[in-house]
Amino acid sequence: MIEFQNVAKSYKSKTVLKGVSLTVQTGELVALIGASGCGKTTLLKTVNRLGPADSGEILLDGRPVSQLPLAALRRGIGYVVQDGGLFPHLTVEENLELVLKNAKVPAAGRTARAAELLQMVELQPDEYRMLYPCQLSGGQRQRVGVARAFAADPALILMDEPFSALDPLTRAELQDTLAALQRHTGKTILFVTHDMDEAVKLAQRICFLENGRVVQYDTPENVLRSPADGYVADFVGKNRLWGNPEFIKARDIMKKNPSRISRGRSVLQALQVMNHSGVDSVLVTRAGQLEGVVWLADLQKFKDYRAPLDNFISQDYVSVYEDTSLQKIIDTIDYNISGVIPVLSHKGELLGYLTKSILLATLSKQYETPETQSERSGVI
Amino acid sequence: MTLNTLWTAFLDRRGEIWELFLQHVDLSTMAVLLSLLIGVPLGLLITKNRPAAAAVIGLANVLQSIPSLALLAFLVPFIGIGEKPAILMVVLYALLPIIKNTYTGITSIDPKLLEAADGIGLTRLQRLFRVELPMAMPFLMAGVRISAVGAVGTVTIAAFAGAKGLGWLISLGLNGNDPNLVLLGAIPASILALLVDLVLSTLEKGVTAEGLKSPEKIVLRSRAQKRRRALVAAALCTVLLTVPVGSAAAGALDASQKRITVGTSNFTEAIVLGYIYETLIEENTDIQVEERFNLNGSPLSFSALERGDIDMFTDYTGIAGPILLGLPTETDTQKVYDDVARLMRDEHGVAVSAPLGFSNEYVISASPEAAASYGLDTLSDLVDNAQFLRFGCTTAFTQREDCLPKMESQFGIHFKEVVGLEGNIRYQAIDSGEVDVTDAYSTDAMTVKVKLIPLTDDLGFFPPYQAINLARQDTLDRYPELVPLLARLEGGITTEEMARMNYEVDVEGKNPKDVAVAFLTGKGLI
Repeated sequence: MIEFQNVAKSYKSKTVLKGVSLTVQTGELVALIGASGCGKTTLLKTVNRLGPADSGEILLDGRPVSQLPLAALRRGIGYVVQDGGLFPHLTVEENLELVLKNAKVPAAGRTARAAELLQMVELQPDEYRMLYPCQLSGGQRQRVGVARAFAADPALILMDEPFSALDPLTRAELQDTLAALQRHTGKTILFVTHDMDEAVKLAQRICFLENGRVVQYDTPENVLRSPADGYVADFVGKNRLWGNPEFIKARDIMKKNPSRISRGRSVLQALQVMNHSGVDSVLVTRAGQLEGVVWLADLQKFKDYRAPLDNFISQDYVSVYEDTSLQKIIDTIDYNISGVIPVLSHKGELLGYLTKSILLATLSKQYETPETQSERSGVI
Repeated sequence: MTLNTLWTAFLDRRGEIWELFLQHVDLSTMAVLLSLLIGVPLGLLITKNRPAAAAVIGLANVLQSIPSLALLAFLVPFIGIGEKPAILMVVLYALLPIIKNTYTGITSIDPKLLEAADGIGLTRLQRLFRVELPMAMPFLMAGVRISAVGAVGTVTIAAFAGAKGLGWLISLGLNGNDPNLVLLGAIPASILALLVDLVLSTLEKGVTAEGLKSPEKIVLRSRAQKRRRALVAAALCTVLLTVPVGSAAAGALDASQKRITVGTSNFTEAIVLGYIYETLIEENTDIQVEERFNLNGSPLSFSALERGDIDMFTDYTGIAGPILLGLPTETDTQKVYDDVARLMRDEHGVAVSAPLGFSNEYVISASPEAAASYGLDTLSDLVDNAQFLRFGCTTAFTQREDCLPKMESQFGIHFKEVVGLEGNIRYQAIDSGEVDVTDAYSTDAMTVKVKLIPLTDDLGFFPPYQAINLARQDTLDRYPELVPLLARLEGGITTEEMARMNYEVDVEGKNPKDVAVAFLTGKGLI
């Protein structure tokens, strides 16, 4: 656990950190994000004292970092910088061993551990261990950089914009690797980035810094959903939420007041409701609870309009709970499904409904810009 | 001069050349080693402070721009003669590339990498040795290479301060107007420079981490191969270091032995005399004699004597009086000798021997053609005809108060032209008719060879130049057996004998040491 307590720092006359307080739980990956100059990297470096805090304290599992011997402190913290920070005169293996040796791993175990680390970051040890950094691609270098940070098995890893120099495809791959590693090892990771997508993808919590102050510290979902202020909102961007279907719940996009009818009515009445609303189905409820669906197609074949509806109530439908994520809905529903998808509370109350077209409209929102929205009202 | 005579000269002196070659290697290595010891830490230190870096590199640049001979002349009064000033001079020249390249090598490392090194918990020293130095190594080695090649060149200058090395041959050759000797010093020195460049560039490649090369040049090696290469490099370095360190240690061990140092100025006669004294002492006592020959002139030799860098050297009363002791110029032979001997003994603790027998006076000499045309026979004739004559003389003669300036003030002599020429070049100039008159010496070999007409000093103008030996009194006290031994040379060498010996060396190309031995043998002194 890291606790920042009122951490302040200035360079010459410029105050970079103005009393930052923040707690990172053990095993959590926290992204520090903000515009350049907001103090995110400065905050990161106060932890391993590459740029010690002027005032305030940082506690690592309760122990103030300012009291720990410098080399020991740093050996207990993994550190990844942009482009890996590998030493060009050492091979991949030697780069890893430098840390292992410092961590007092006996010589005999180092080679095996280095191989294990390479495997961890999805590099074939035999193929890569003898190579020099200049012989690797940027992504491979950064994988080794990540491996090096994990080498001494530190409780905490600091990452300073580790993937920002990579091309988008490689970046995505490395993010996946890191996410898997973090899930798997349960390391506490403090991660500086200026890429909101990256923060949302990797972090359990996101800390927004603005001019050396924390403006919002919350889960990605909450940050996307309710930005603390205009700065965060601008950073998050209007459409960001729509690009992250896992944070969109059924209740966010459902249509309320679905066409409903009670069990005791006739076929004609049901047809009238459908006709009135221009839909091809009607939901049958009793005391707010969903009992089934009546499909227009089933009624059309039947000519006795006064017959009770009872015989036509179908259980052949998919319903979702109000807090089911859009991601899950898309993943689970059949592509061939047509018609209404009722949205229920966990108590079975009918709250609203979704249709395929609502889902499509939602998914397309992430590509919308204000311009495309205004065009829609014109003649196409 | 033909290749043939060069080859013969080489065969004659190959043992000596090899020895000088080794001494040259020795001096150069020692100097580069010292430069490394000073330059690398200094270069590292100034990486932390930019203004200091500018100051240090600026100073090293200034040192570099001082002509080496001038620097040497400047150093000698402070630290004496021999290897010490030579090495110091070479070090001062070798420092700049090492400081500069260390500084550049370290400061050119990406600061992000240094941060990464700190970040992963390397201590300052670990960072220096595991990251900074290995990464700066290619720069550093390039600096060492520039320094070492430069040092090989600068060491040749060291001969002018009495240090040995190949410069000794060059300086001997220049003094004796013997181009063969110059080449015998210069060619091995050039070969040595190329060799040093080759060895160090190989070493440079060897110690440069593969990862710092461009990717297509990288050779991947296993751990065992790397270890083997490191071992070879270490062995190579050890060999390079063993030479100077070993010889320095040997020198230190030797210090317990009885030893004296004989010095000489840088002309043939002085050197022959040096060998005569050296051989005489070595053959008749158990004292080991060290040579500090070829010192650049009398004042330098005298200051070396006073500092104790040398124990004895031969000089002339006419120089010791006015030049070394600042006495007024006298022409009374006995008075000059008495004054010199007394002042040397009383004020400088230097024992002056009785005159060795010969004198090496200035004899203004004319070419046979000029002598015939102007009827030159005496100094008076010269004064009368000076306006028609071109005078080619040593620069010392133009500068010394008792020479040309005195001639001008006393007789109003005014030559048609005065050309400053060094050593035996004067004889070439007069032989080829470029000048008409020169300042020859009475024992000079070349006067015989080019058949000059000596002009009689009918004006009593020149002071006497009796040869004498100057020895430190404390040395004679320490080795009293030297006193009767050295006395055996007093009055023992005639002007003719000395001129003959000079002729053998300068004209016949004999080795001065052989000439000295032959002389002593002939006299039954050894």
